[in-house]
Amino acid sequence: MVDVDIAYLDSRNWEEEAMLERMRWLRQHDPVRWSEKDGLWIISHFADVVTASKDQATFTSGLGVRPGNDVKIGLIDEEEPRHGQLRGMINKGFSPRMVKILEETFRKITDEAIDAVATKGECEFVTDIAVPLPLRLIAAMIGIREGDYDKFHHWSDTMIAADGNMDDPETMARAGQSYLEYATYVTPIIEDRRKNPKDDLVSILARAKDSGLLKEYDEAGPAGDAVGNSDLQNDELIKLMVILMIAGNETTRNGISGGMQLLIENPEARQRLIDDASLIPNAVEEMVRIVTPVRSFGRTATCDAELGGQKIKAGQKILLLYTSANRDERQFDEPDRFDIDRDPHHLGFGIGNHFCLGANLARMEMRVAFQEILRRLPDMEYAKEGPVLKPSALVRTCAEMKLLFTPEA
Amino acid sequence: MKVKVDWDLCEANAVCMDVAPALYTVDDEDNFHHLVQGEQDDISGDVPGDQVDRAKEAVRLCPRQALAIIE
Repeated sequence: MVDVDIAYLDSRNWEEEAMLERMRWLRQHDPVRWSEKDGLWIISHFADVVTASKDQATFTSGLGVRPGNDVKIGLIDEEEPRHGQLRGMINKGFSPRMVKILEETFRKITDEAIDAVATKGECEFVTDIAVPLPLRLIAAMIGIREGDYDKFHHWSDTMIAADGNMDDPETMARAGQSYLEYATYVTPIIEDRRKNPKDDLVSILARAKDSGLLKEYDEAGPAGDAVGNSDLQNDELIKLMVILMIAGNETTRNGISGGMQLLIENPEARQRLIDDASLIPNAVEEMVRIVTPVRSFGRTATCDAELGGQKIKAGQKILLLYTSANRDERQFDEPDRFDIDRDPHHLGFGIGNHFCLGANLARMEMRVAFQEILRRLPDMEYAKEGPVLKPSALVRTCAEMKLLFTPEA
Repeated sequence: MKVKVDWDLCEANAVCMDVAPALYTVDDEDNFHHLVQGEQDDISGDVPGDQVDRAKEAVRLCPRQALAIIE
């Protein structure tokens, strides 16, 4: 049997098959388990993740959602009522109306990425398709100029690398440098939108700042020493633009990679989607359920509470395992099976007040990506071996996936 | 059974529209509407029997808890 007495916060322990087996054991034998090595409770049942997620008064996000990393991220670890105020405003940049406007841009981005590989008959799916699609859309939303997309990619990657590597001074220095360059780049864009508001995300954020909703933090930020520029460091608007950049990149990228993997490994389902594209939206939900791009977030008990029959003490942390909840046998029949006809209500976007702000956007991106991929390159197969996964406690990460297909004439 | 929307809480995440497309819609201006209309804009008409489960599911899943069952 696989060892369940491990540190769940340690990314190195997230080798996928072993972790899925571990979660099966947890769900059956110890669904609210005290993890000695992490010093927190591990929550693996769908119902308990829902209960905790919907009860912010008892299980708050306000004391951090990445246990072991106490740096304030913003929005995602904000408490009510401020979280709701911020969200009510920022959400307008991700509403169904805005997503509809962005769809055309995204389809063009997708077709350009496919154009670049279509005649070659092979690609490295992550670098060629999964990375550029969401990256270019979020870049367009932020107002990055097309010639600067490589720079934007570099900033995004180096800042993401800081997660879980706070003890590596070189990685942190690079992240700090990127933060400064990014902040310097976006400052005039923000100023421009303040003076000439458009119907876009940055104008919404600029308005939020002018209304006094966004603040200047007074504490030093994570990369304060490396950067030494506390004005930019402490500007909440810029911090939000970093979160949106990262959240808009890693998650959808891995949703698309993981979704592609499911299509290759389930040829019958793929054929049905090729024959009938109207099935794609539901298939996308099933992809998000099985892949679960965001694997876990934490909460902190504000008072003594009970969850799944266990007593949680005030101040103790819990770790919500979305990956496990989404494969809970109590919620889904044959949970490991990719079933595109399934009633698709999953926890891939979370639930409750902190429900994924970008869910509408992510759904549109995955739908359009697979509409175009299945239309133009319907017979993608693994070149040799399957995808190379990188263990992570936060995001289900596909590092590399070499594919072959019939070249477009 | 009727469902009431709290306009101050609704932020157009459109989860309800996914769960119960016959009952709710979010229009191009991000405004929520009951498709089974009642006398007031914020309160639906009687939810048809075959839609009751979906209506309850939408109330349960709304991220902002902006929907509530009344009567």
